[in-house]
Amino acid sequence: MKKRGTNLIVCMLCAALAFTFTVQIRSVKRNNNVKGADQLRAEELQKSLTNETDKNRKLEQQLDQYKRDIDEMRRLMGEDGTISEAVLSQLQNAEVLAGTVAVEGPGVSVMMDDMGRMPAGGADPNQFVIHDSDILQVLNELRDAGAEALSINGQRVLANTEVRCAGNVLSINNERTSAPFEIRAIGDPQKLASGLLMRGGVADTFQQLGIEVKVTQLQQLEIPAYHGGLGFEYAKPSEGGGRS
Amino acid sequence: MMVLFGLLGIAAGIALGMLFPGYIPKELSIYVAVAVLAGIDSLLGGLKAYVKGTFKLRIFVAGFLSNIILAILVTYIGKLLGVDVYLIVLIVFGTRMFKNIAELRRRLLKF
Repeated sequence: MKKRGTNLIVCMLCAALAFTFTVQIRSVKRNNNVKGADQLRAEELQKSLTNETDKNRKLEQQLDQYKRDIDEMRRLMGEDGTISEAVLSQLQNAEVLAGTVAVEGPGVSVMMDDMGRMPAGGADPNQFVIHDSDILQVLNELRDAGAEALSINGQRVLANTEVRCAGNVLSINNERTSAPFEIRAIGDPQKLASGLLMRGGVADTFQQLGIEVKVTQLQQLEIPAYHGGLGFEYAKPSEGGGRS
Repeated sequence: MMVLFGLLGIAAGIALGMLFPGYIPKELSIYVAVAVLAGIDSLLGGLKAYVKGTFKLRIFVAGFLSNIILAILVTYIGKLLGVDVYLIVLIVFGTRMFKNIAELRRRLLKF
């Protein structure tokens, strides 16, 4: 009788242990399969990012289509002769100025790069990288020298283009880009280059700061059109206002 | 004979565990893990004693339960203190399991 009781108790203890063991293994397996909340969140964000990117691309395609439509209409209007040469050339000027068409002509290409080496110990590395203000100085100098169209790393510089540090990259037309920067300008190559390279000018200053600047005069270079959309939410032509 | 009953119990336990609908929540997982480890250690200890011929039910049951309770308690205290004290439980029981198995092997295989 006593022997049997022993067996029974041992059997029950073994059963309890094996039971817990099995359930534990199954639980661990399941818990590992269930994703953590943060993981889910990241996945969700990834998905919405992909969605937005898709949407963006579709909108860009639509924009391209509209632009082609506009070109087509303009051509038709020109053919009809209902629009005068003068208006057409005025429109062309406005387009070049607004940056909605690609342009080509003589000009300069300015390459700017951060200093390749790190500054000697203790110096602030911030002083040795290109900032938005440096780019803006170059742009301003080029405009002063008569640049008619400008681009930075393939982004057309418009009247409302921002050049801004965004983390360790620059945001230009809301596109992120990083060093090296190629600034292209169309205008008189000689004037543009000397505007930058004059003694005590921006190139000199950058050289002292350790930023490499290389100015190349070109007889032919192309500057792309602005790819985004142009919409005005606030500004509209004032009625009865002056006209140039 | 008793070993047979033990194996029977283990088989029944595994079968029931497979059929069991519930799950152990993640927070309690570590307690169950140390408890299971303590149980296995006690079981091996009992088996060793049985092979030696010194098995006593009282000692077995008391050891089984106290091991489990101690393991859970130590783990809980470790949680309260913010230190992974359960690692000690794992190491101690792990070492003892190996020791017990070694002794069993020596006795059963007569090496």
